[in-house]
Amino acid sequence: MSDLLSVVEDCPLKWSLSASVKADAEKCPTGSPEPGKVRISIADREDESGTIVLRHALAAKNGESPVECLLTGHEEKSYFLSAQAENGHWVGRETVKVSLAPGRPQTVSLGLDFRAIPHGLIESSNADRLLERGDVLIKFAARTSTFMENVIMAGEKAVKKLSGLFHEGIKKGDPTCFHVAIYLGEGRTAEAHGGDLSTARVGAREIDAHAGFLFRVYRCQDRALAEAAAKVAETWATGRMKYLVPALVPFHLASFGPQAHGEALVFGQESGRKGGPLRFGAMFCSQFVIAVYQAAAVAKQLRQKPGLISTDVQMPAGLDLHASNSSPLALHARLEGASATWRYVDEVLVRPQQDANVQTAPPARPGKDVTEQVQVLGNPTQKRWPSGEWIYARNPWSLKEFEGKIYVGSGNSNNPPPAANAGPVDLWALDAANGTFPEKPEYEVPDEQVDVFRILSDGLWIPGHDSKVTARNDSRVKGESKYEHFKRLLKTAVTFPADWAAGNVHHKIGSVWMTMNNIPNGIHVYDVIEFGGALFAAIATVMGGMVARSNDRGHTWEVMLTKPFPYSRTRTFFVLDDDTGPRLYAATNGGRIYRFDGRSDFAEMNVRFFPAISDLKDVFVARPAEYRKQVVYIAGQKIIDHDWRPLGLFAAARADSARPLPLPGGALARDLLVHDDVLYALASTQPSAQSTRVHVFATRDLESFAEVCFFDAETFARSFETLNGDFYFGLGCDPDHLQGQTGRILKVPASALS
Amino acid sequence: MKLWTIRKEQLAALQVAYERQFCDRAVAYLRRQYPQVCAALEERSIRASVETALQKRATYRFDSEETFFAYLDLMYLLGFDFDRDPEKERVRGTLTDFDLGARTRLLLLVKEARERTRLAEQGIART
Repeated sequence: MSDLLSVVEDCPLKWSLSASVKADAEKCPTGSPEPGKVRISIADREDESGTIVLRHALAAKNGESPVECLLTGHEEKSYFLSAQAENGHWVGRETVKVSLAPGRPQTVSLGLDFRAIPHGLIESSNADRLLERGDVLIKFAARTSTFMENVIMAGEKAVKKLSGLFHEGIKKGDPTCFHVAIYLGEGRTAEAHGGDLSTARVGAREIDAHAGFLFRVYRCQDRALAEAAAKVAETWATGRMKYLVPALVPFHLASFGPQAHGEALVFGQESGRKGGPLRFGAMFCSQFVIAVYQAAAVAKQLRQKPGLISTDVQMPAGLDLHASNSSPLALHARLEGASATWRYVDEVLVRPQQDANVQTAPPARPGKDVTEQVQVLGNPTQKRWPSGEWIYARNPWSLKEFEGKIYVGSGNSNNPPPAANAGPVDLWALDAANGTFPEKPEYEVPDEQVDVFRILSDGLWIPGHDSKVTARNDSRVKGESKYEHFKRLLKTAVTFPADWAAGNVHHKIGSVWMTMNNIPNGIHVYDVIEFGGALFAAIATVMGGMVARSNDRGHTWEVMLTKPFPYSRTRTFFVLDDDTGPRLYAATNGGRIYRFDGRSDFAEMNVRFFPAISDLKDVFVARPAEYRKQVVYIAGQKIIDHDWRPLGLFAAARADSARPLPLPGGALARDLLVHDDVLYALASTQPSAQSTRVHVFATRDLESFAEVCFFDAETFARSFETLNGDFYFGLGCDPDHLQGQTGRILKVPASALS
Repeated sequence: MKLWTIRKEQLAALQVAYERQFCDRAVAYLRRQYPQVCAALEERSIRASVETALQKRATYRFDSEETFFAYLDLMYLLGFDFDRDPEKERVRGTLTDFDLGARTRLLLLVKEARERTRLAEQGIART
C-alpha cells in the first residue's frame, strides 16, 4: 500500500466540538438564495474580542450541512459559536455557548435565519428591500457619534441605572440607543437630527447620512397606521422645525398621562399642517417619531369623531408615551414591550465608508483569498504605545522598503485625543530577509508622527509632521525672577509656541539618521520632493499653507506661500508633464491645486481635481503616485487635524483632466504603490458589520483593475509595501473605533499568491 | 521503569494487518453497495480501485474510514477518474475546497451524486 493508515486510537481524554448548520427554508421567500458556504466563528469571548477560529460548513439543498468536527482539545474550555452564510443572506439565529470538558464530544446545531439584505448592510439603493414605509429605526452607537449623540447616551445610561430599577418596562430599552428616525421609502428617512447644530432641523435625509451606524428596525403591524404616519412625517419634515436638544428629557416622566393626551390631540389636529404643528418650533428625534405616529392615530379618531376631547384619545400599544418627555430609550423599551402591535424586523448596518464613485465602480471579481496564508510579523510600536487611547498612535501610516528593510511610520500629531500629540516616534525597520524586527528601533524621530517616507536621489527622507524639537529654552535662567520668567513664557507663547519655530526633515545618510530642524515656521512638514535639483517641502505655518525650497539638501530653506489662510496646509506634491516638460504641483486642503512657476511662486489653478465630491472643505490629495505620466491619488478628508479618511480614488493626466478611478466593487482605496511598472492599490471593504476585507488591486493601464488577493481581518490595512514578490501590510484604525490589532505588521508571502 | 514498549517492527506488523483488514472491508462494502458494477469487475480491479482511493487521501485531504468510503462511492457513482474529468469541474471544485472539512465535502458530493443517479434511473425507467 502506498500510504499508511493510522493504527493508533484517539486519546479518550480528548474533547471534540462538532457542528452542523440548518437553514430555516420555510421562513424565506420563494426563489431566495440558498445558504451555500457558511462561516462558523468559534470565539473564546462572547464579544469576539479575543481569539477567533474560523471554520466553514456547506449546506445541502435541504438547508442542512453534515456534522463536521471543528475543534479538538484536552483542556476544559468554553467557546461561543456563531454562523453566517458567505452570501450574507443567512445568519445564525444566536450565538451558542459550548462548554467543553475532557472526554466529552459535543455537537451543536446552528440555526440560520434568512435576511433580505445580504450581511445586513443597507444603503439608500437597497433599503427598500428590507424596510417599509413607517418603519421606526432606532439607531445605536457604532463607528462614529457626534457630541450631541454622546450627551443623549450619557443621560440615558444614568436614567436606566436609576429608573430602570423601578420601571420594568424601561429595563427592556438599550441605553446605547440614541437616535430615532422614521423610514419614508426610497432610501429616505424623516427625523429630527442634531449632529451639527448650525444645520440641525426636522427634515428628510438619505439613509446614507447614517453611514457606519447600526439600526434596529421595528414595524407597526397596523399597516394603514404606518402609512399614515409616514405621510405625516413627510408633511412635517420640511425643515421648519428646529432640532431640540433633549438634554433633560431622559429624566422626565414619559407616561401617557393627561398632558400627553392633550399633546396627542394637538398632533392629530395638526397632522396635515406643512412644517409641523404651529405650537412646536423644535422637536427632538424620538419626540418627532412618536408625534407623527400619534398624529396619524388621532387624525383617524378625529375623522370618526370631530369633537374628540383629549381624554377620549386612544393610543395603540407602543405609542402610549408622552412624546415631549420620551427619550429614544423610552420609545425603544415601549416598542420592545408591545410585541402584538410592533414587530422587531432586523438589525442593519448602514454601509460604512465607500468610494465616492461607487455608483460607477466595476463589479468585483474576487482575487485569491489569502486569509489563511497571512503571517503576523509583530507589532513593534506596541512597545511605546501599549494600550488605551494610545493604540491610535500605533497606526502604521506608511510602510516603505529601503535597502532591504521595511520602515514603519507611526505616531499621532493631532492635538485632540485619542493619543494627542504622541511622539517622539520609534522608527522601526523590519529586516525583510528574516521577517523580524530588531531589538531596538533604528532611530527616535523627534516628531509627533512619521506619516510618509520619501526615497530621493540621496536616500531616505521623512518630512517632520509635527516637531518635538523646541527651538528655544523655556526653563528659568539663573537670576531670572519667577515673575520675569512667567512674563517671558507668556510673551513667547502668544507669539510662537516653542515647537513652531522651525520644522524638521529627517534624512538617512549611510547608516546614520540626521534631523535638520531649520524650515522656518514649519509647524507641520507634510511632504518632501526633489524637483529640478532642489528640495521642496510642503508645510503649514501660522500664516497658512506654504512650500519651502532648499538648494543645499535641506540645510537652508526659503519659503513660498500657497494658501494664505490660517490653518490651511500644503499637504502633498506631485509632478505631471505638460508641453513644457515636467511641472511641480502642490496640493492643499480645500481641494486646491497650485503649480510651481519654475522660479519663485506657486499659482493656484482653477481645476476640479475631485469630480463627484461636492464638499471640498477638508479634502486634499493623499498618497499621490506617479504612474505612466499620470498622477493617481486618493481624496483624503481630514478627520481630526492631520489624519484623514479616504473618499475615493482619482487619476489625472493633466491638472484639468482629473477623473474618478473607482476600484472593483466600490472598494475604498487606502494606499498606492508602483512596482515593476504595475500600480497597486490597497483597499478595504466591509462585507459584514463585524469584519473587514483587505484587498490588493493591480493595474497596468489605469483603466481596469484586477484583484491580486484579499484577506479578512478585524480592521483595515492602512499601508502596504512589496518586496521580492511578498506583500507587507500595516493594520490601522480610525480615531472613533480603536482596534487592538492596530500597528500589527502582516506579510503575505509571494508563494501564497501563485 | 517502562511498563510497556511497542517496537517499530511490532507497529509495522500491526499496520500491515490493519491495512489488509481495511482493504477487505472496503471491497466488501463496494460489493454490497454496487453489486452490479462489481459483478462486471474482477477482484483485482476492485482492489485496484481501493488502492486508487487510498492514494487520493493526501491529495484531497480525507482520512477517516467514513470519508474514505465516501470517496469510493464517488468513484463508483461518477466514474473512477471523476476527479480528472473536465465535465465534472464543479465536483472537483467542492472536493478541493479545503475551507470545508472532509466529511462535508465528501458526504455532500455523494448525496448529490446519488440524487443525480436516482433521477437518471427514473428517467430511463420512464422512457
